[in-house]
Amino acid sequence: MATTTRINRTVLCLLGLLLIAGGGFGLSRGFDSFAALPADEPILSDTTRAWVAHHHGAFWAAVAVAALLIALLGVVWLRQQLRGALPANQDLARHADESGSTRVRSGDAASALADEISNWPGVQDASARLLGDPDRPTVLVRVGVAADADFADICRRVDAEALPELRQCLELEQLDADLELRIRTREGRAVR
Amino acid sequence: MRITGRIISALLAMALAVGGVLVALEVLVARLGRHYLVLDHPRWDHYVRANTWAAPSFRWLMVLMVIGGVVLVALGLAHRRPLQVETVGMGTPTRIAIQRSSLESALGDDAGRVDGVSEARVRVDKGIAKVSARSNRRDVGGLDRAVTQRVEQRLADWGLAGRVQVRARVTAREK
Repeated sequence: MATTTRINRTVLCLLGLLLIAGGGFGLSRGFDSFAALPADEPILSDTTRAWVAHHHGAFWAAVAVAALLIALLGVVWLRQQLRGALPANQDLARHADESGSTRVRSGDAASALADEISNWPGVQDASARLLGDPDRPTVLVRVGVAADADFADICRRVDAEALPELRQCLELEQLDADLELRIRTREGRAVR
Repeated sequence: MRITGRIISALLAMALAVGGVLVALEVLVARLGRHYLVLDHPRWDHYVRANTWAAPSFRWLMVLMVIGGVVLVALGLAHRRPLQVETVGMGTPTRIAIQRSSLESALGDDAGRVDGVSEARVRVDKGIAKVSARSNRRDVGGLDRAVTQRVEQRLADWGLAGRVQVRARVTAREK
């Protein structure tokens, strides 16, 4: 979610600056701000038309390629918007020896971790995802906790019980963790 | 603001994707000697040949472009409240944070339970929890303090003591 927001901010600023630059240039030229570029010329001058006609094949091929690239960027940007709040689990690839590698399904391990945490007192729900470098993944844990729960105890148990178990299960030396607590109000509302 | 940005981003991304494909198709169709598919480029071609840079309709188009650009930049630079508030003092090496919206909702519920308070809302931003509460009483003397203490206590329970300051304002019932 934070990554999507960052990408959106950057792309919106870039597109905005492009529009301001283009519109600003058009307006300035329309008000005769450039001595060498008179305002009373047609928007598409005969010189430009002649140049395009001279490079007809290459010019329109370049336009088509540029348009397809823009379309591709649009699709990538759109896909980013449709990503869920929690990214999908990434399986862990292990190189056992020179002959091959094993793929560890991290989704099952993450689900087991979430199931365990959700049974603790004060916890209403939990979800987990394993992401990042297969040798040093990060586990994102989201825990819905009752407002009157003992937060410190839940955090301590995640750190001292749940994460070491997951580390052992995945045979990892190092496992970084990000824990997000979501306080559920007494009425049981799932606050967003 | 985050949701607005996301909706506008999705619409723009869709426009770029569809527009890009359409332009590429129009180039292909023109190459095959056909007329246009969707984009009426012969009319645009006529417009840019028949009008000068000083044409009023063109100037208006440029003004709209600049306005659109300013809106997009403003949207990109707009302040967004954090999604999470990081905790301290939980005694673990793991990074722990509390979802900001759930924190606001829970603190609002808590402040609303202070004796004399009928309703409370909390906004957390830039390390400050602003509590806006209403009371059924005509005299709200001391209620600001009680609400502040209650919210501060909660923040301490949740590992946010010293990380989030509390500013409470209780308004009295109208006379």
